[in-house]
Amino acid sequence: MKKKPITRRQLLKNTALASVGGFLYLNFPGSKHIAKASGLNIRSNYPGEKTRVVLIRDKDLLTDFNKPDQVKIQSMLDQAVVTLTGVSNHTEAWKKLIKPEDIVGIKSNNWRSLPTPPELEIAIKQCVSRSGVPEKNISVRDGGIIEDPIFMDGTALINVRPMRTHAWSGVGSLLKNYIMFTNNRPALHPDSCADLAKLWKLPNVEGKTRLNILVMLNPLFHGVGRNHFNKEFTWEYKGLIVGYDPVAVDSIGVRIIQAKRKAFFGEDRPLNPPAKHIFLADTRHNIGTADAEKIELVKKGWMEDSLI
Amino acid sequence: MAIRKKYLLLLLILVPPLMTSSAKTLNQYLPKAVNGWVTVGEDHYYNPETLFDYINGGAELFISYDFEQVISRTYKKSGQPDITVEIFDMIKAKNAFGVFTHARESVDSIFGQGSQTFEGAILFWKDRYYISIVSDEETGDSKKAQVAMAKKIDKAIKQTGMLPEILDWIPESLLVPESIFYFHHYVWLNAFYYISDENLLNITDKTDAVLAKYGEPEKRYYLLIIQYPDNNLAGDAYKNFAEQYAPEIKTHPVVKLEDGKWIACKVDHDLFVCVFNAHEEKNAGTLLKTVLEKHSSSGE
Repeated sequence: MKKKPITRRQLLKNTALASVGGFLYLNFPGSKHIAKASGLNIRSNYPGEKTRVVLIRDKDLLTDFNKPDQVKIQSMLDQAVVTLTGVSNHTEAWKKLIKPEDIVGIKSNNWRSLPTPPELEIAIKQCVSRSGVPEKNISVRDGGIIEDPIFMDGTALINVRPMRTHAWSGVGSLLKNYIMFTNNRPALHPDSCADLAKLWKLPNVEGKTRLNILVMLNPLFHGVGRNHFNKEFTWEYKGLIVGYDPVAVDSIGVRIIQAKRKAFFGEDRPLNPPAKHIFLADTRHNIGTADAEKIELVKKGWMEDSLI
Repeated sequence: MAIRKKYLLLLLILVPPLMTSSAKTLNQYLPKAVNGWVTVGEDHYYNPETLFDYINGGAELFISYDFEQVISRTYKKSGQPDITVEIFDMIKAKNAFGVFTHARESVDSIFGQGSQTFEGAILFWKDRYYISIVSDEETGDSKKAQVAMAKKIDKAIKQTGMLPEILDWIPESLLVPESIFYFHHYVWLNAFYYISDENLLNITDKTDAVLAKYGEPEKRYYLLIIQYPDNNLAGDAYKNFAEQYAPEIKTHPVVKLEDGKWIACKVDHDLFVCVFNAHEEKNAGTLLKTVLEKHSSSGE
């Protein structure tokens, strides 16, 4: 049977679908707005628990562009993990995520214009070490991971990268960060990278990710030119979004980016192309949830102009 | 098999000279030095197969506009940021214009047939070429050098290119001029306004499509025009769109949707026209009617 396209009209008519795709495609802030707009009732009950996502910000975090203070970023990370795991202190929180016998690949991102800050890589590595993992069993990298036995044969992954708009997939965020796990990247390009979630089912990836950290220090909310980067289109958000579910974390990040675009341009300016791979990671590949009603967003720290 | 070998041999003889010729063509537009910035190292060339190595993540944008080749040259000056200049050969002027419309925030023709200046960057198009002049950081001197480079390249490219014919059908009243966005790959259909995640209008490299914004930001509405290779393809696209999006347009071209906004759609020979998100019925209907009148009066 030929699958039906997801159209604006369908999202306007179908509240259930809109609660997943509404904010990703239509810049709807949440399902209450959708219900109001469409005249339909809000869904209120779901089986199972909501997935927790932690947004944490510190207004004094940055010492320069994309450069956080080492002590502050460490503190933010620890607070986020404590909140996410629901335990009393950061040592116990990290022990819940990582065991001493784990072999841990920290999948970073070294895109030249907006890389994962080294200060955050150091902070994550310290936390993993604190959990009892020896140095030789930890690797931090972006390129070359398929030649790195820690990534290919390891037991645990931590996924960390900055949020940015992307010329072909809408955004470059956590779901896309595992593209280095394949040699055949062009195979994932069709239909504006619609099926990036397939990466998360690769044998060396599936079930190994313990933590996802979307870096929102100076997110890129709009791209121009062949580099798709200009500092004019970044801003000091000074935050991290942390969670177990990469789809939920990415979808929160997209909402913030869309809100920033609206504020900056003075009108709705949808991501071009839309970040459909995040929507499809939920609805087609069942990697996680993009449904706003199934996400529990916990906010910590400075929340001025949080845009969410 | 013998015939295949013969063709392979012919290709080996012909292709390298052709590549050299094309490379030379791009090379000749670049200055050797500007304001103390000089060329360091060799020029680099990339084609559709190798562009991913150069701008992984950004290559698809150019490939969706039939990109053929790019030359990249870096200029250096002591104590100043490097400046990288690229000339993308997009085969046709309409493709160069299309890529340019992705970054256009204002109407500006200081360089070439349209240009845009950002911090550390000048982007412009002329004839079949899209030109990018970029430095990671900007100083007063580097900006002056970028401007000088843009002027030299603009002067070196003698020809100007024809804009796509489809732009002729865009009405000017209430138009946001810098919003005109030209494309022929369905991925860009949702540039201003999400319509669908699938190619329900059968946009291909044989179709020309344009989006444009109208009205004030708080009451923005959008025009989509698609020109198909023939009337049958336009009719098929209209039928599919009506079935998947708004069956009501088959009986009345102007329809109010669930969000209270108006949509107005029609097909006219090879042209599909649709107005989205109009806050008032009159705006949707008038814009649709004006496009169709312009198209009819052109003798198409």
